Amino acid sequence: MAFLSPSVLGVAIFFVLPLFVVIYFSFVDNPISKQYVGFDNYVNVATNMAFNMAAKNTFIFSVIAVPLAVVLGLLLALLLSTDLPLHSFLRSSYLTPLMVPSASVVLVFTVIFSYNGVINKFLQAQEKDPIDFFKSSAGLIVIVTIFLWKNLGYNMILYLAALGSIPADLIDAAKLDGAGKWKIFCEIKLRYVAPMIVFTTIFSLINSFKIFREVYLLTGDYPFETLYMLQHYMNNTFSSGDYQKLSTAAVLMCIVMCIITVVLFKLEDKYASDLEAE
Amino acid sequence: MKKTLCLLLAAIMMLSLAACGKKNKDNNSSNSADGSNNASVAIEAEHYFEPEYYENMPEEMVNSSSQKFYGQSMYYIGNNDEYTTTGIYEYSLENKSVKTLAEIYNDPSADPTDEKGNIEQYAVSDDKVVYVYRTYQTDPALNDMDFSATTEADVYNYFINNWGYDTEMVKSELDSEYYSSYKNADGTFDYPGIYRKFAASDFPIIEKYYIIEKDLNGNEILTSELSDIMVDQIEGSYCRILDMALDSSENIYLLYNSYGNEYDDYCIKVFDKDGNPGAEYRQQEYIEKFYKLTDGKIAIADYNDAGNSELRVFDAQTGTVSEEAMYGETYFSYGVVPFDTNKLLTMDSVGLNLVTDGEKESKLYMKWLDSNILGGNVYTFGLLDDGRVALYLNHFVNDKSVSEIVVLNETDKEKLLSKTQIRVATLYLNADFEQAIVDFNKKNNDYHIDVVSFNYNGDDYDNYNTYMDNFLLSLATDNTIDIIALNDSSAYNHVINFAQKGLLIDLNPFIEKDSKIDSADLVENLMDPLKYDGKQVAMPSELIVSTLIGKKSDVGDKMGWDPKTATEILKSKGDDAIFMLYTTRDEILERSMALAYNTFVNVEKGSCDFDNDTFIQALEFSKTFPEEINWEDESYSANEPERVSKGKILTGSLTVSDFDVIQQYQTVWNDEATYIGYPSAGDNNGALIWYEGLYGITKNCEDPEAAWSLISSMIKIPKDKAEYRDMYGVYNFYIFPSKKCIDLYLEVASENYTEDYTNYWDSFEIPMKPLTEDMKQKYKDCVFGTTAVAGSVPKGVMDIIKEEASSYYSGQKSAEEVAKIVQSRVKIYLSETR
Repeated sequence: MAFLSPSVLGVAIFFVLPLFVVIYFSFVDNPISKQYVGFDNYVNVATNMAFNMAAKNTFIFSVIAVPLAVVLGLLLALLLSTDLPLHSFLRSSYLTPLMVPSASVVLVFTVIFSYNGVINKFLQAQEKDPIDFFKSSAGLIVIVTIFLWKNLGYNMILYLAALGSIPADLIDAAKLDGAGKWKIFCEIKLRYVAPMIVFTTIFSLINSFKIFREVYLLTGDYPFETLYMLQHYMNNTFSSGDYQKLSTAAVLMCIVMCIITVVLFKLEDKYASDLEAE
Repeated sequence: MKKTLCLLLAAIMMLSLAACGKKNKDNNSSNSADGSNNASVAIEAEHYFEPEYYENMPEEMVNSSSQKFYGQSMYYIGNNDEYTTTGIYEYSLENKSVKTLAEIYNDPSADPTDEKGNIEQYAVSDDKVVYVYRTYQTDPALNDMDFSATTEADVYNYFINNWGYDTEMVKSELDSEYYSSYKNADGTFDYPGIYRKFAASDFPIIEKYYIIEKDLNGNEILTSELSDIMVDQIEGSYCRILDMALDSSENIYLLYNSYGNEYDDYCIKVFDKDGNPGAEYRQQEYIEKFYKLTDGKIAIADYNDAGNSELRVFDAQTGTVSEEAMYGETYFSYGVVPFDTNKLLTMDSVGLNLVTDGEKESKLYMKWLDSNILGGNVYTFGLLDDGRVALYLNHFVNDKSVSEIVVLNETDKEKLLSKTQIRVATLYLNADFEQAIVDFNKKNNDYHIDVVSFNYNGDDYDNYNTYMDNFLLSLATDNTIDIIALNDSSAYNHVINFAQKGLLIDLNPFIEKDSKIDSADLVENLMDPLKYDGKQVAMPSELIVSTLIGKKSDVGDKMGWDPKTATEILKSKGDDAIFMLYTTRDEILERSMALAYNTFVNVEKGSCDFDNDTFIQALEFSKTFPEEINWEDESYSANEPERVSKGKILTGSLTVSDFDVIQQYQTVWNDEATYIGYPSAGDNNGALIWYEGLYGITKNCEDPEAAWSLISSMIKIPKDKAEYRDMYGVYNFYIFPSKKCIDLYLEVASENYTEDYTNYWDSFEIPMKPLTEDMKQKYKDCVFGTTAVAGSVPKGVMDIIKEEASSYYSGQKSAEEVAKIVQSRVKIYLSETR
């Protein structure tokens, strides 16, 4: 315990204590008068149009982007685990987006997707109407693209590591037994990679919230409604001093995340527990 | 168990994403224009002093310069009111008496070729005063010129050709006091004498410089002419003496600026105690003055490449300045006093700071407000020989300049802390409010008001939100703030925001009890915008109402109109007609939104409707205005009155109280003016309230009665016309929102137009006539009918509208598309802030 105390103390001060402060603020009327209001904040936030819109947009984004990141990452890993020419170079290339600062990423995507950007110039050359990506529902395409561009590489590396840990003799034995590629993939590779799939799903889910950074740089405090995410809500309520709304939204989000995490763990238990037992 | 712990950790990590903070778009926003941090200034000073005042200063001190404290006296170069007598004087703090050390009288009626003198600079030691005496005269060669043939026409032509006068103006000038000595008994003028005076101004001036030493009884010790030594003797060069100093060896240091057509140098010359010239030094960079260090050496303050001032020691032997700066970079502009071997005292608007050599940050030594001293009045300061700090104050009381000396006597800080502390938070502490605080502290011994200021002075508007964020954060976290004081027009929204958070208490009970204010007399429509939930949450100290005027035959006689009507009328005036001058698209959009905000937004329900024709019309109307004003373009405002008369400039903007402008336009239009207002949707008169000074008491205040006393002291409600003139002056358009104040304003304004006189607007003669009852009634109708507040649209909403409008202005999108996007984005904002 003595050896653990610095870490425990650090976690307590920088994580546990803020947690309780956040929960506290979710039960007061505002940070100035700090009057206890019970669950009023939860009712207000849960019925607030802006919060619901942000939650819906975040959910839609996560439902689209996270599975894509998981599946495409796996596909990339499967591709690069074969003897493809330049596969070492390609592996490194897919990781470089992680190193690029968000501001630079935003600049590039602005050049491509803005109203006067490359894509719209191309469309106008084809005598078609330009698309206002940042001020319409087409904005979802942009942010999903940014998300995938940034995160695919990392998922791919994780999957490559997982694929590398599959015992080769299992696959050889399966081939000897006449199993085809698809069967090998479903019955052996997928099951070995399942824990990593859970991990990358959780990780991608967490990263999906960080897309706020790019969206904020692209569109500001109050973007078009389809780009308005939960973190916009939280950021704006912080700026306006409405800590009670911010804290309530955070607690609600936390509960949802915990539920999702529990479900994922249950799924992992179901499909990969036999591998763990081994 | 493991999974439970993991879940908990995941939950904690998720919640840590909650407070990610606001990204500041401007990385430079942490510092305000003068380099100070825009976080709140609520630092405690190390020391506390009680001020000892010396008042009723002599006339010469009021018109003084170069004040220096030495021993137990203040020395200064003083002048009488007529500036005919100049001298070096010593005011003794012990005896409270003045001694004349040197004095010169210049006869104002003397001929230009007569020699006159001036004391330029001086230095003082224990037993003597040394000063530079300059004599000047017009070259006596002027006397060889013959002006006897000069006629009246010659004099008139001189005025007309050289100074742009017309005949009437020349006549008026000659009849003035300035030329009274040239007027003969029969009413004619000594035209040769006047012309000689003109010629003298074109003749070279002969100057001589002397160093004079006198003992402190005024007996001359030494006179040494230094004209040949000091002046560059380059044709067309000038010399300006900046400072003098004496070191511990009684060497004399002279600092002067030598400049000519192609150079501008700062020079130091050293003379020994007998006046013999010694080392010299010159540089192009500015040197402000000398500072005598505690070891007797002389230092100068100059500026480094970064523009910061540094103190460097001057070596009198070698005539060089030390490479290394003492005390690092600091802001010496307001003065520096060596305090100890390696310490300096410097001065700024907050108080005195102690700078220690080798330490990066200075410490706040004392705060002006702690000692109830108005920082803006402190002209200079110094150290007496007993170590006490002395200040020289100069300020205006009833338009008259007043001088005071204050000696600071250190006292136990407990004396200050034992008083009830009232803390005021403000974006910027302006002079009027600071004066009110000092007056309050002086009158109320049991209280002390302290100020938390964020140093926003209105110049850094791009970072205004950052200042307000810091202000709000401070209010949220510091429960010792008792009063908020905001004095800019953008503050209105934030005051309402504070009220929504329950920060501000209801001021109605204090208003009712205040004998100065008759609550029934307050103008409801001007006070109602400062109500929230039935409570009066803020009190304005004064306000103006601004609007537009239009020609009655063009715009009708009713107040208020919509953009569509305004556009139609404008179009009927031709393609070259414009709506008004000096207003940009963004500004007109802000004003029309402020007027029509309740038409587009239902604040209670948190809903909005911008996707409609009314908003589109407002956008289209704003597009007719320029994006920005090119102030260099003279053609933009050329021939303004002529264009107004022809209807090519449709309206004029003004504060409704400005009857000069109304009469101007009425004359040029040859028609009555209507307070037509800014075009906007909704039912309003088109005029806007601009609050100047909003004050509220926070719910944390433990003594709201005392807090209200301070706020009440900011409110000026005159009893009669004379008091009105004293409080507001004659041409002040700001009013306190009371009916009595408004009536008194009209009475005073009426007296400004008691008889016909003529004003001019370019070449148009504008006869200023007495105010009619109709004009006064129109004024009242406008003021009593105005409900919209400038800056009332939340900045978040206005930023969205302006941002989207820019794509309409640039032709990228149609007004309809912009309306849809604005609707979408503002809807989120309103819902979020509900």
